[in-house]
Amino acid sequence: MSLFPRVRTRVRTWVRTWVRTRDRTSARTWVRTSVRRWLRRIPATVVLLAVVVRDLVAANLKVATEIVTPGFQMHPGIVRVPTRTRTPMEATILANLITMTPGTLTLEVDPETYDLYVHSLYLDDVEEFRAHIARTEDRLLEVMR
Amino acid sequence: MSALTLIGGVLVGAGILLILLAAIGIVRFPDVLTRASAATKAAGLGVVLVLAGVAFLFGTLEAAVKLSLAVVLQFLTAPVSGHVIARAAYRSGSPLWEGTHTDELAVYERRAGRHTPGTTAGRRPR
Repeated sequence: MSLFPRVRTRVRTWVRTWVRTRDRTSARTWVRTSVRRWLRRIPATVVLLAVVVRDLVAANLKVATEIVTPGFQMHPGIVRVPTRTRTPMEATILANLITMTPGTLTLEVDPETYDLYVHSLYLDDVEEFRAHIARTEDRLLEVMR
Repeated sequence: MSALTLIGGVLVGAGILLILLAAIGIVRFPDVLTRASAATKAAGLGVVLVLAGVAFLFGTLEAAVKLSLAVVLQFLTAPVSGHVIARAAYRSGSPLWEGTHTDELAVYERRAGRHTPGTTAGRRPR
């Protein structure tokens, strides 16, 4: 996937919206509303980053204790996680976030449905695990859409 | 010793400790997938902590900007290598640890027409 056509489409949409609305609204109002739309994403971005960092540190400690304590307490497994991501960019970022969290590893992405296949070291409750990823996904999509 | 040096030293030390733990994890863990989990951990938080610590030790804006860029790129690229290594291992049929209790990927691989000899397909969840 090339990034350029998508940027081009987006710029074209901006220009068209501006051309369509410039009689009714001044260019200044238009710029102000689009800037405001970007500003509105900032709180959600901060929340997403904070939650990701918290998960990262917590999971790091968990895996670290697993490494230094004798024997294995882990019970790994691979599960299919259905997602609501609909573009390659969204799916890539979500898969990267999952892999960054220690103990979870994205193994495969279904190119048609964007289902993720995730390997986890601590797979106690499959539904709980899916719900956890769904929460991260909700936060991510709130930022990106 | 200034506060910056202290913070920087602590961060670098914590990062090195995490990388050491990850290295031990790579030796200790039983199969490729769990080892890859331990390795991406080192490439993630460990390296990022070291870079942040170095930024504090330099204490200049220039170093902070450059090292933040390195942190961002690290977060973007590190998971990709872990994912690709794990997927290659899975597809080439490397055996999973006997403690692995669920494998829903085996179904998908079989439907995609790929042979998955090393999997624990059909193993019942504990």
